[in-house]
Amino acid sequence: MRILYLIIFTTFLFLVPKTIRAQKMIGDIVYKASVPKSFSLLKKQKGVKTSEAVKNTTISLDNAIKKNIGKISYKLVFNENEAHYKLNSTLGSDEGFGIEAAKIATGAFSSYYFNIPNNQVLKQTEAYGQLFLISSDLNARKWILTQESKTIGSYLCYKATSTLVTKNSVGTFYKPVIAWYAPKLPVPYGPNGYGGLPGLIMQLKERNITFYVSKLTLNPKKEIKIRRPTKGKKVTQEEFEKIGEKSKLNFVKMRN
Amino acid sequence: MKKLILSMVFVFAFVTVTPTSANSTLNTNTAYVDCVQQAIDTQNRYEAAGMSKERANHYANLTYEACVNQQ
Repeated sequence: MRILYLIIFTTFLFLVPKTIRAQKMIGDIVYKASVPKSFSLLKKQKGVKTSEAVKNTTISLDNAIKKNIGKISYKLVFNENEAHYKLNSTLGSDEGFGIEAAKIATGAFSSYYFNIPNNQVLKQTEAYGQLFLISSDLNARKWILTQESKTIGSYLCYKATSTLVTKNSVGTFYKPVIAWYAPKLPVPYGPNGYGGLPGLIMQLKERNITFYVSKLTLNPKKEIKIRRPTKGKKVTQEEFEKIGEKSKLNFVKMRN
Repeated sequence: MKKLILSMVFVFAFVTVTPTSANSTLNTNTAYVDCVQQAIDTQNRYEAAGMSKERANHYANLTYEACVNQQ
């Protein structure tokens, strides 16, 4: 009987602190993004012609993104139930072409709200002259968890992979997504709307842009306020895609 | 607000190419038409590269604004 009590007591000792830690998981994270020197928005594609104007535009955009991406940061504030991710600041820069290009590249036109009890991610995005609210399931994304690991900061992180599926006017495209998450930070949040992993995403590579944690503050003294976004036209992802297509058709009609 | 203005390129483009403008602005309007075409081409080409409609549209709007500013 004594042994049984000892086992129960020991188990209690191990479990309780973990539970308390999980309940107090509040954080304030700054994410930044980087691109490789070889970064380009376009690559040569067989059977796809690129006009000189678009080639020149792309060169300008590529250079602007490479030059300005370091000036942009995103903030993720979270507690054990909710999180909010949005553009933080553009360091000492005016809002010119370069900064705008880098903002588009990193997705500054959208912010994301996560709600664990409701298993929900709300994307608030400015597009086609309107503000939208698009809801999706937090666990909708399928991740493949691997045993590959590396240390980021002082956290042991594991690699998870997924696929970014993009449906547009031309077709459906599949691109790999690689995330490194820290199980010691057991919250399912991350940059750019990515989440649903058994730990905070410390690094994420989507297309050829890498998002990484540049500052992590756990249990900050300053109170964290997480507000669920309410402004914007509520649509499903499918409805949003249709609106995009309609806007484009209207534009072409205007042009003709 | 600026983002809203940027995303309204379609509307501006329509206004600027409307043939009710004075004759003196004809050359400028032709330039605007080129900018509109460049924006359309950018959006189409970026979508062909697998970019989302939304992101391609943001780049097209930025391209349009830069083009108009250079006129």
